[in-house]
Amino acid sequence: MDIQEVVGLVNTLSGAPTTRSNNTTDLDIVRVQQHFQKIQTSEHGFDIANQLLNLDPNQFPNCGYFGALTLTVQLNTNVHSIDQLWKLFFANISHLVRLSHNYITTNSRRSSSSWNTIKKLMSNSSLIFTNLNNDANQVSDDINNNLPNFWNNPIDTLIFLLSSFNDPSSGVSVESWSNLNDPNLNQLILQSINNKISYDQLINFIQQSKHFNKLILTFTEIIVEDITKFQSKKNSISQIYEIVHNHLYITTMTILNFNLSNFNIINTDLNDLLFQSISAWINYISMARTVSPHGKMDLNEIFLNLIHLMSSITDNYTTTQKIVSIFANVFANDALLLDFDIRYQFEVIFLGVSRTQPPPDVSLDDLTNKNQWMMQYMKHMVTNEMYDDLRELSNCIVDFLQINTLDVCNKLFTTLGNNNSSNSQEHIKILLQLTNFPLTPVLQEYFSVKMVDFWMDLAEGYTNLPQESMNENSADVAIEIFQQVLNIYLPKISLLNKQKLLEDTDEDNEINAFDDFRTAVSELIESFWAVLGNSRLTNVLIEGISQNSTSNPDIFQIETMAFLLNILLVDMDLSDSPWICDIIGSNSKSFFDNILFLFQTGHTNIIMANQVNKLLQTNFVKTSTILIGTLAGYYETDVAQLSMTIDKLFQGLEVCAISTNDQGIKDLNDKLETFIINTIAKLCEDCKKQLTGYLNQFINVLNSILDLNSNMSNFTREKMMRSIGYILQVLVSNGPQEQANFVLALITNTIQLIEKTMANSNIQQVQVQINYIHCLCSCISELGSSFIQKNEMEDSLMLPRLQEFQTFWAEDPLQIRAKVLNILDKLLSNPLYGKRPEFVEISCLILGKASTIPEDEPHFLRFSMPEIMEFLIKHLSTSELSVSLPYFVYLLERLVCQFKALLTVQEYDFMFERFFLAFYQDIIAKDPDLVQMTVNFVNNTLDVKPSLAIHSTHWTTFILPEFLKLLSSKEKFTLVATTKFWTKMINNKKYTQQDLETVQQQINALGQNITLQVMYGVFHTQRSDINAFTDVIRALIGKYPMQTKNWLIDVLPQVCHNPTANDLFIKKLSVARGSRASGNVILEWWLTCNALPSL
Amino acid sequence: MSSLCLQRLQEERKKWRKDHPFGFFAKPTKKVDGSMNLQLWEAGIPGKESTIWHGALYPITIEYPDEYPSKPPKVKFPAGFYHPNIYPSGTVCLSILNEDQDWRPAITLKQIVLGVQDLLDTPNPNSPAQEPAWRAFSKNKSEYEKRVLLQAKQYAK
Repeated sequence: MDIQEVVGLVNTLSGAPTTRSNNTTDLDIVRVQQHFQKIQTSEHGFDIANQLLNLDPNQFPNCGYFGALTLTVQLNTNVHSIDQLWKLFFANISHLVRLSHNYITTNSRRSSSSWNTIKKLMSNSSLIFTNLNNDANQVSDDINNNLPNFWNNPIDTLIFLLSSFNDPSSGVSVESWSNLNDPNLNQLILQSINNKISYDQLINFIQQSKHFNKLILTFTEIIVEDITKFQSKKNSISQIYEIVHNHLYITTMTILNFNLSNFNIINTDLNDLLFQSISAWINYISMARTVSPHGKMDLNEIFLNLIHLMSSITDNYTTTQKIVSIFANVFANDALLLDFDIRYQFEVIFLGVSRTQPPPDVSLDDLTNKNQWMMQYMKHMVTNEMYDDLRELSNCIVDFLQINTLDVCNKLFTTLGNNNSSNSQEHIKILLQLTNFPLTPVLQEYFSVKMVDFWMDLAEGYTNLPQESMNENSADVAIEIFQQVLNIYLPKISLLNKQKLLEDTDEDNEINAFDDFRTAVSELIESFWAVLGNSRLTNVLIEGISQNSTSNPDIFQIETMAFLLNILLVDMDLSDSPWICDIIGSNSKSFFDNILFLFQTGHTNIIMANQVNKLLQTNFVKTSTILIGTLAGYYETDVAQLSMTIDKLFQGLEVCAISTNDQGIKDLNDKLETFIINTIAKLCEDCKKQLTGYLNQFINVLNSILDLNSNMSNFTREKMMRSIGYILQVLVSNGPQEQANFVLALITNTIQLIEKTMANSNIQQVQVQINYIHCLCSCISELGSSFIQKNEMEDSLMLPRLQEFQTFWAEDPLQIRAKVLNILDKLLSNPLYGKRPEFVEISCLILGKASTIPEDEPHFLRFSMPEIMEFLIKHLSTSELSVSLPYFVYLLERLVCQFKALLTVQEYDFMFERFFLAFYQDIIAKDPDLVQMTVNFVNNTLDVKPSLAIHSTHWTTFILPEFLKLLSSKEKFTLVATTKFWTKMINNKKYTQQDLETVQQQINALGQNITLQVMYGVFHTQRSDINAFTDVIRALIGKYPMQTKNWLIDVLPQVCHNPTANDLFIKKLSVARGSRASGNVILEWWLTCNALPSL
Repeated sequence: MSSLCLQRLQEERKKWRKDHPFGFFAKPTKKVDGSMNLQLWEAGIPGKESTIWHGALYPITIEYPDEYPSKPPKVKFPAGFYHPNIYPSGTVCLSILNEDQDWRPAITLKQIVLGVQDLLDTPNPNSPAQEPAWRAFSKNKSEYEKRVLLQAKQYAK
């Protein structure tokens, strides 16, 4: 291989301007890359790497790095024995020493490319270090080499070799370092492998210049970073932890501590390297101590040096910030790396107090001074608006605090170790001050944000304490603390702070972080409830809202309290909580005045407001409407307030109906409208009995918004119709006629609107009209849905009059059903609507509305079977069946379920002929979705009343033969439906004796064919679909064990000629129990027959 | 609840509080006595921006079995939730939540909720769990989108 050619490739890849022409395309680069990779992995890779590394870096600046990279490739691909690894070790270390020497002794500008090459060679050394010390490694076969079994300390090796470079006594000339065959060089390297460097040698070495120091700091960082990364990939490297612990750790700690003790602020880049190296070692030890007994290494001296440096250096806190960042990482990920004494020190530094007595050799005065320094540091950050650094410090402090939450909890509330409760209370006082950090949360400070977690842990810790361990006054202490926390957070999460944030930044992240903060506080308040209860929390919020001056209310305070109150009330059934209702009731006027004031402030003049206020006002509407919805249970007991609230909600809705061409305002109105209508619907559903007197008001609103020219969304129209339906549902006291009159009026009005729109067809507005008419149909459907009770009939007024209502709606004297049927018929007869599947769908939904409720429940849309069938048959031929057939079939399935007792086999045959057979070849068979629909229809019949299908004339002539073919479908959904069919057919608990006999005969006749199709299907399916067949095979073997065994013996050779696998399959299958075991047997057979590796 | 299950759920809660994607919430429910039920969580999944699911926070429940983390939790939307891969009961059909498919004990709550959020806008047509949404998604996209937008209003945030 010609080195010039390789240099050319390297230059192309590294984008050297002299070699890469303007015409070089990405494709060319990919080709060059592939070619170069081939060279790197080839048997010439090793020689090429050495040649590239030996080139003059000034002349060929990129070649060294590619040479080192090629050694990496060789290490990863071409090492098949320990001797090959040692060979690479010798080459790599000699290049590393030579290039490092050049780097530290050169007087000219140090190039970044040669530094990158050195780092890559260090990384190779780190890989070799890990591999050589691997548990699984064998001793070298080449006894003459006297190669050791381990490589203890790469740092010592590097220092020894660098010290020998240029040393005539070493017997290796400078030139020889490029000659890997030089026996003296090899001897020197061999000697260096486990040569120990003394403390003095080490210190002298790094003191020579900052470049020597930099080299060693980088090398140790790279080694532990690589082992940390490597750990996730490999388990058998426990040997390495012992070697690192016994050798590299000692050397590194010496270097790191020396550097910290002799810290010089001028050496910025060296200092950064020092901190990086420390971080890498912290991460390494944090990982290693969990995986090996040798991973436990003491970092106390480093930590003490860092603490000292952090609090004593005078470089305008630049170094302090870096050290805080290191500690933040420790506290966040593995705080127990610090021992008790150091944690004690931190507690006093951060807070100025400690919950415990000082350790014997710790000077409290010194720590108190450090706390003074911390206060200065915080002040400096606040004064200079260094909010990012302040955030880092808050992370650091709060993560630190969370280590001790349980201890704080025990000391404050229990008799365990409660020897110094005044200290603990002092401690809490400081924490409260920290939480109440006097800046704007998120925008300026994160202490309050981070402290949420601490308080939540404390509250939960307190709640989980065993009663017998608690102090006498623990409840009082807890209440006092958590009430103070509540009082701190109320202004902190106020939207006033969000306003400041919105005015200050466009950053979504910060705004999101504030919203997240509010959510976190709301969860905290939920935890507090377990401690404070309703009397000290829920009531406080209710009274807080009520007592806010009604003449000059603080809207932000009301919003905050409403936001939190909702969280507490949302899981309570207020209609069953008289105590809470009494509290609300005793404050009801001012309470609701303020809630509605919040709502009105939200929507009033919102479109004129600036962007910030628009967002805040939307929040006001959101909080108030959600709380109003949650208060539905209370409104059941206070009709006056309900009435006032409904009025205000309607007024709000009216505001949203304003006409505008501004899309932004439209979107805003749409959002507000959605909040309001959802709340109206919730109130109507929960307070329907109380709202019967307001029916006319509701209907007036509905009539105005149903108009085509109204700006209300279809969603609001449909919701309003449903809301009215809820009220109508309980309008039973005066008998069915009154209810029916309202229903008739609503239906008639809706139908008139449909007819009017159909008659005034406007070509340019056709899509609008279609959507509008569809919405009106949906309104009829929604009205129908609102009459379906969620639970069993609960209305005490309805039950005594049930018979009366049943008779009334069965007779339907007002012809409401006929009117509905008539308009649907008109719509589907018009090709503009009838050809659209959404109109078929909504028609079927309306016709099937009452099919899901018990037969004794009266419903104005309970159509008879002939009515529905006649309608379906009529429109089947005029609809676009390829898209509409599923909706017809959906209704048909409902009919089978609803009328199963009355349905005859002949009627079932008729359905099957008209809806399936008539279109099977032309439409259904061409679309796997429709095929699946057909199979599912039969499956539904097998679930509901199997005899209808089994005794159908189409069972043997069409269903069985056709569904047998479908077992080899490629579409998973068809396959799943078909295997479900065969499973249900073979094993069905709903069979009558007659059904069972018929089916048994059919299976005995068809069994072999079924088995063949199933096994053929399994063999040819993809692995992920094999499960689809498990149940059918289990059903066969379960219900027909002897026959299935014989069928399998006959058919398996036809499917796959592998007698051993087939025999094993039959044997294993007959003893497999459970779906999972059978699934594994089938999978094993499939793997063996497809020549794939077994499980 | 096994100690492994309890330990892992406590760990999940801690992790979630420390790091969770914005706009989501997830918290254990409360038992009648006010204590925490770590095996049943309620969570909210925001619809992704620039999708038809945007603007709403969809509620789910996450029920952890005693065998968790060997077995996956059951994730449920409200019954009748409109989506091709959500069963009529509300149960989510997602491979990472299926013990026989891609469930691994290392999967975290964060990965689950993000997986569910992803599923909202990228349904898997090969794994239909309900008829109406799956049919509309395959055959009538505009109708599908219309229904999803309506549902988004139902859960508007």
